[in-house]
Amino acid sequence: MSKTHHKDSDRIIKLVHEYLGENSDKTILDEVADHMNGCPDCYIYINSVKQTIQLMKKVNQVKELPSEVEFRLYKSLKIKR
Amino acid sequence: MEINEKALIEKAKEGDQSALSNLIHEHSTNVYNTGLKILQNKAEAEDVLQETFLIMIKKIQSFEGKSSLSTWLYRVATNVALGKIRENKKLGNTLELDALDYEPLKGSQIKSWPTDLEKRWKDESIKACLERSLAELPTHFRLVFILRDLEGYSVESAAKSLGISKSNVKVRLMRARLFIRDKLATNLHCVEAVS
Ligand SMILES: [Zn+2]
Repeated sequence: MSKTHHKDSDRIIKLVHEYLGENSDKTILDEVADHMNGCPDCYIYINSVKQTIQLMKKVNQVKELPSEVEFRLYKSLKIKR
Repeated sequence: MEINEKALIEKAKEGDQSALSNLIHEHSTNVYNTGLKILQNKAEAEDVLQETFLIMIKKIQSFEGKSSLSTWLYRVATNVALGKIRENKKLGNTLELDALDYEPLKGSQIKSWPTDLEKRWKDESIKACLERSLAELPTHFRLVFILRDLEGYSVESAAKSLGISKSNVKVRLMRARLFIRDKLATNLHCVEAVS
């Protein structure tokens, strides 16, 4: 355990996982922000998880429908494009 | 829903093929992407695409427009995709599902985290690392991550869609996030060597 580990860290981290991506209320956000300011370990932990999710969203962003896939779709549905 | 689309739906109900064709064209990319995200497989995503629009054609008569067509199609496509996973028995049994045997890194083990990372998502090595780590996750962990973090499902609807408890969603989500983050951290050489 690093010297900066607060006894509150585990609870904060659990809270973050629970509320990431949900509409969290301001008191929770404030509490997390406060804790992060005083705890470098949690700062890097939470930041890295958030950024990982952001990156994954970008990598998985909408991909174009290949024209041959579209062609086969209409063919299978027996509908003219 | 756009007025234009409402009119197209009405025409499609009357059997107008070109209206139907336009509706399919409008939504096909999104439906394909929903399948692709959940199944991470192009051939299976194509099956989802075809099956979803077959269902749409069958059910368009009874479409009441309570939700938008895109929302409706999204739900159908998600169910078709999850059904495929069940069919393939990729979900396995419960014991197997809990097998993600690894110890996540602690904040103190990550020595630095790049500040410009969000701009670097196009880097081939980062992209490959993210895709690989998603593929390496056991199916249920991957699905929880995809539904919650990529698709924005609530804990409750993810639990419902997957037929697992809410607390299971939470546990798996946390582990899936950390698994991917740790692969990325290692790839980016951010991990402090254990002394
Ligand atoms: Zn802390």
